[in-house]
Formats: sequence, C-alpha cells, structure tokens
Amino acid sequence: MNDRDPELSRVLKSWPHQPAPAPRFNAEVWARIEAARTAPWSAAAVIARAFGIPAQHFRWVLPLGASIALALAALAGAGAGLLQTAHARTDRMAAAYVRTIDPLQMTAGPQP
Amino acid sequence: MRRLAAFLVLIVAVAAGAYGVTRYVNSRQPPEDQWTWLRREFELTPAQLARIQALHAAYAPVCADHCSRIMAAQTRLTALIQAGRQDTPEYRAVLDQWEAVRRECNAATLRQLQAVAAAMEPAEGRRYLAMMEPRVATRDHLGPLGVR
Repeated sequence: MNDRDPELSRVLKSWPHQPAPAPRFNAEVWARIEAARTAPWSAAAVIARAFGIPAQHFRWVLPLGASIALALAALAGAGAGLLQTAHARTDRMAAAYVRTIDPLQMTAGPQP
Repeated sequence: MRRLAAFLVLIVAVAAGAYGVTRYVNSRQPPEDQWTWLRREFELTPAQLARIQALHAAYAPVCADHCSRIMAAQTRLTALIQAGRQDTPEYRAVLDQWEAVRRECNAATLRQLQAVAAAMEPAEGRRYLAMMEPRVATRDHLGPLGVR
C-alpha cells in the first residue's frame, strides 16, 4: 500500500465528515464508564445483557435476583414444612381414629 | 465465586429456617377433635357426618364386646403362662379361642370401615378405605400378649 498515493490523498481531503450533534455525548460516555465500573461482572450481568438489559441497570439486577431467590427459598421451605406437617397430622389422626374402632388396638395399649 | 458460595449457603439457611419455623408453629396448634378432622379430611356434609356418627354409635357396643372377650382370653392366657401350663391342651384351646376372637374383631372392624366409607362420596370413601384399612391389617403381627 502506498501512503503517498495522490489519488487517496485527494479522496480523503474531499471526504466531508459531519458527526451528528450530541450535546450529552460527554455525560453519556462518563455514565457508561461509571456503570461498567460499578456493575458486577457476574452471571447475573451476563444474563441481563443477554436479555438486553442495559449495563447501567446491572447494579439492581443482582440484588433483585438475589431477593427473588431468597423469597423463593423461604416460600419453598415454608411450603415443604406445611406439607410435611399436614401429612404427619393426617397420619396421626388416622391412626388415632382407627384405634377408636379396632378392639385389638384398644386392648394392645397405646401405640408408639 | 466465594460470594456465590456464601449466597447459596444463605439460600439453604433461609429455606431450612422457613421449614423449621413452619413446622414449629404448626406443631404448637392444639390437636383437632376426631369428628372435626374426619369432616374436614373427607369433606363430609352434615348429613354424611350424622350418618357416620350413628354408625359409630351402633358399633360401640359390638366393639366393647370384642374388647372384653379379647381381654378375657388374654387374662386366661396370662394366668396359664404364670402357672407354667403353656404346653397343656387348655392353653392351646384358649389360644385358639383368642385367635378366633381376633379374626372376628378384624372382620368386624373392616366391615365398620366399609360401612363408613359407603356413607361418604365414592371418591372420598375409596380414599378413606385406602387410608384406614392398612392400619387395621397391620395388626396381624400382634400376638395375644403383645408383639409376636
């Protein structure tokens, strides 16, 4: 490639470049830099980007995801507790009920 | 990575805590009355509940009779064992008597369960029998004076 190609020089000189006016260009660049600096490089950020969530929102994506995960964990734990309690109570009540109509169990004494 | 591991530990701790609190709170509730439980568990209408209560009332004297016969046989068996007469024809006769009463009791109990189930909605009746019958059948391992 010849750097002194007169034809290329002529074309470059004649190329009029007029960027679109961007009055907030500086502020937006600094906002993106700030967002990138504070955004955690995490799976949440990658997933958020995959869903098209802008980088400046990463700072709340992670706490929100964590809060949802904690709430789901609490719900799952409470649900399992309720189910197991209900199952145990049904079992206990059914055993007590049968004891009231089964003479063999009545005469055998209390069950463990 | 350490933060993720710590967060996973927190998730497990929260789930376990919620489970424990739920179990604890529910375990402190007073036990339900038998009829309240039966009505709620098998979605009985007032008419069905009244019919079942009548069945139970009618069965009570039969049950009491079976109880007294079982206890009489057990008392006689205990006396024979204490007298060292386990190899006598009398002991075997009382044992046969106990076995006959046991079979009679089992059959009567199962009949009672089926009568109660028939007073419920068909689906609930089937669920009732599936829940109750195994609890009667498992008593086959009982001997006259305790577990065989």
